[in-house]
This record gives sequence, structure tokens and C-alpha cells, in this order.
Amino acid sequence: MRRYLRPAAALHAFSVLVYLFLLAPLVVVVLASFNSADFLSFPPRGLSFRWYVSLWESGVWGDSFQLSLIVMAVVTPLALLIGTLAAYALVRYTFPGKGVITTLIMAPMVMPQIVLGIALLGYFSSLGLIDSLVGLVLGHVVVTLPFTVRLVSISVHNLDPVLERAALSLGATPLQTFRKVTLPLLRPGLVAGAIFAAILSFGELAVTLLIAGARTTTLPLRIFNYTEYNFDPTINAVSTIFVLLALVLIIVLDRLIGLVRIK
Amino acid sequence: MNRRWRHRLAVAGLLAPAVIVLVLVFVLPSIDLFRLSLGWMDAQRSIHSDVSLSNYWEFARNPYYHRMVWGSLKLTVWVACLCLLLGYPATHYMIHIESAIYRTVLYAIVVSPLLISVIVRTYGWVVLLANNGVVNGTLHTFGLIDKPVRMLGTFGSVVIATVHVLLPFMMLPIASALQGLDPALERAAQSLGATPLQTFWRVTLPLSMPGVLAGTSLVIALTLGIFITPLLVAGPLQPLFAIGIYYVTLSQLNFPLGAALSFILLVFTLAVIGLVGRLLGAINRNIA
Repeated sequence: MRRYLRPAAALHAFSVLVYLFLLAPLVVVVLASFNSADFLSFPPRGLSFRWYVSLWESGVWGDSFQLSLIVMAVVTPLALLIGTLAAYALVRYTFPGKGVITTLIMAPMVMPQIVLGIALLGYFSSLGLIDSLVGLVLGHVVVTLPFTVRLVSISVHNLDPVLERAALSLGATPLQTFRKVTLPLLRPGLVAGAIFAAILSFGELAVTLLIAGARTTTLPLRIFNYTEYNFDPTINAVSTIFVLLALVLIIVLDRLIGLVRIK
Repeated sequence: MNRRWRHRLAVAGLLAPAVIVLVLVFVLPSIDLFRLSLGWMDAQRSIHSDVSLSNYWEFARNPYYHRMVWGSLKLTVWVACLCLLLGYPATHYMIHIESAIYRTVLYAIVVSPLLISVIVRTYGWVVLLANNGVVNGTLHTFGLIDKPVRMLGTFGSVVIATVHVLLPFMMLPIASALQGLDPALERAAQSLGATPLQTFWRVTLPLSMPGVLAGTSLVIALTLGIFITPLLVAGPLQPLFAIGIYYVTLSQLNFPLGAALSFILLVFTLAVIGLVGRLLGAINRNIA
């Protein structure tokens, strides 16, 4: 037994380093957001909340935040509804062309990001949807749909069709069965799907960068513009909000479906 | 008969919204992209839509684009290998932890990047690697360097940041494959006299190959198309295929050429994934 102790210790140390690597940039941003210096400086000068105050008082960040929330609020129910219906059909029924439809739904996830962005840029230009709310919403729905379908599918898999048949045979109408049996049992998958759709839309940049413009500068796009052209420590404060939001959602997801089942 | 008809109607109704949205906002744009790639831009920057293969010819002839392809391939090999070498042991470790709380925390670390915008994660690397950033600051504090080491803008910084962004996509499929593995198989191998290393090599690894395959393909596909992360850590002139497409389309405004390059990247990505799938599949059969 003793002989195998050392490889185990090496694996342990190596793995801890990998997890630290995954955490490092996030931790650094959160710590930097409390740094009082005017520029990127390390070691930090002193503790301060001034970047949160300047974030709160700044109009442009507020506008972007609001826009991102609006897009998210439209995209989430759309992606969830469309995705749930599709997930139900794909898990429950067999039909010709099922493989093609599954590939079609999952394709936006593996399509090179830049290609999807350029394709939508060309297409939306000809339709006049560049720099428009409608264009952003459509782009985000396509990007989030594979995730809602996948997460809701987990719950549909776990839903025993016998329960629905039992409700029907006991005299419930199809609508009653759906509301009283199907929907409550799908709830974990639906909430997880909604969370993913919301957070992906809120943070989406690959497609947004190409189809958004001056009137539709979402929060991630504004961070991008600021990082590319000038440096403003307010970005640290904005980014910290993203990190904290993820932390809260992770706890919710774990309670709901168990993190272990997210793939 | 009636029942079969109702069944088909139900399927059609359930799938219709998804299919309509995807045809309108995914399939048609892709077809449009191909059509655009056959057009061309003249010296006065006006775009002609008559069919021509000039963009594809430009790609075949101009060494500038060959350098981009080479850069992307190099990045893909680095990122895929590093993700596998870092991801597999770390995932194996995570799955076999006794403490449920500790395991959940590690899972959270793996899942969290999926929930945090790619811009925030990449920006973290800017803070770490900038000339006045954390790494240079630390090295300077300890007197290891006199003047900052340039890290942002280098190929290495692109590799590091890209590995960070894509590592979860390698780890999650491997985790799911390792979880589906019956622990009795490993115990059986050990009780039949296999050393832990033999058990790993002959039992665990081959059985987790589907996860490795899925993770590797996904990471390769995503690396070939990634552009926001390299753009931020290395700028728009880094010789990478995806960055080149961005630059040609948005800075030079040569949309037909950008469309042609996009199309080439798409075909290239599918070819590489297909090739890797066959290669790993063959290795898998040899091990098992």
C-alpha cells in the first residue's frame, strides 16, 4: 500500500494546481476590484469601494446593464419554451429524421464562434437587424437553445410516462395532466435550463460583438470596448458582479439538479 | 392509423418552433454566407455578387493566410494537449474524492466558467499578465526581474488564456464518462493482480475514452473558432485563422473575403474533428 502513496500525493498536488489555475483569473479580478489605485497595480495600494461607487454613478454602465437585463428577460423564456418543446419531442418520440433534427439543434454549439458571428452579421445586414434589439434576441436564442434542450432533456428522461398515463386514465384532461403532473416533475430541468439561458445571454459576446452596435452595447460588449482601447478599473467591479452572480447560481443549480449532472 | 397521425402531429408541433427559429437564424445565414463568399470586392470597395472563386484563390495563393492556418493549427495542438494533460488527472482526482463537500466545491470550480462571461475570464488574464499586472508585480516584488516581462501579445499568453476558457469543456465529458464507469470493474482488475497503473491503463482509460473523445473534439472545434480571448490578450494582428476573419471583415470591410475564410474555417474544423475522431477511435480500439 505504501508504495502507491507517492503517486497519489503527486496526483493530489497536480490536481490542486489545476483547480487553482481555473480560479486564478477570477480571484484576481475580484481582489483588484477593491484596489484603490487608479491604474492596474500590484501589489494593491489600499482597500476601497470607489470603483463600485463609480460604477453605480456612471450612466453608460447603467445603460448597458439595463440593456443586458432586457435582452436576457426576452431571450430566457423564448429559449426555454422552444427548447422544452423540442426536448420533449426528442426524448419521448421516435420519428424519421430525428438524428438530423438533433444535429441541427446542437450545431450552433460546435459551429466556430467567429463563423456564426460573421454569418449573422451578413444575414442581419441585409435584413436591417444590425444594432437592433430584435437581432440581439434572435442571435442569443440560437446560442442558448442547445443548452436549454440538453438540460430539459435530463428531466424529461427522468419523467416516467406511466405517471402521465395514470393521470389520464384516472380522468384528468390532457391539460390537467400537463399542469399537475408533467410540469411539476420537469421543474428542476426547466429551472436549470432557464438559469443557463439567462446567464449565457447575459454574458454572450461572440455573436454580440459582430451584430451589436453603438445603440445596443450590452454589458460584456462594453467591457470588451473598454479593455481593448483604454483601461478603467470599473471593469473590475463589473466583472466581480459576474463572478458573484455565478457563485449564487452555482449554489442554486447544485440544490436543483446536482452539479454532477451538468454536462 | 388515427393514432399514428396524432403522434406525427404532436412531434411536428413540438419541434416546429425550434426548427423554424434555427432555419431562419442559423441555416439561412449559413447558406447566405456561402453565397456571399462567391462575391468579390473591387478596389473602390464596392461588393459584386456575381459568382467568382477569387476569394478562395486569394486564400490558396497568399502566404498571409497560410500563416494564419498554421497559427491556428499550432494553437489547437497546444490547447487540446494541455487540456487533456491537465484535465484528465484533475477530473479523475475530483471523481474519486471521498468528501462530498470537497467534491462539490471542485465541481463548482469546473462548472463556474460556463456561467461567467468569456470576457470576464479573459479580462482576468489581462490583469494577471499585463506589464504592470499581478505576475510581473509579484516577480518584481521578490526581486526576480528588473523590468516587466512582456507576456500579453505573445503566443504563450493566447495558449494559457484559451486553455483556461476551454478546460471545462474537456473536463465535463470526462467526468461524466468516469462516473458511468462501474467501480466493480476496477476492483476486479486489482483483485486479479493488476497494479493500479495497469488497472488505469487497461481498464479505466479505455472505458473513459468516449469522454476523452467528446472532450477533445469539442475543445478542438472551439479552439479553431475562438476569437474574443486571443483578440484581448494578443490583439487583432495575431496570426490566427479566427482573428484573421475578424480583421478582414471588420477592419478591412472585405465581407466576401471574410465570408470565404469563414466557410473555409468551417470545412476545416469539420475535417479536423472527423480526423481526430477516427484517430482517437483507432487508438481506443488498440488499447482495448
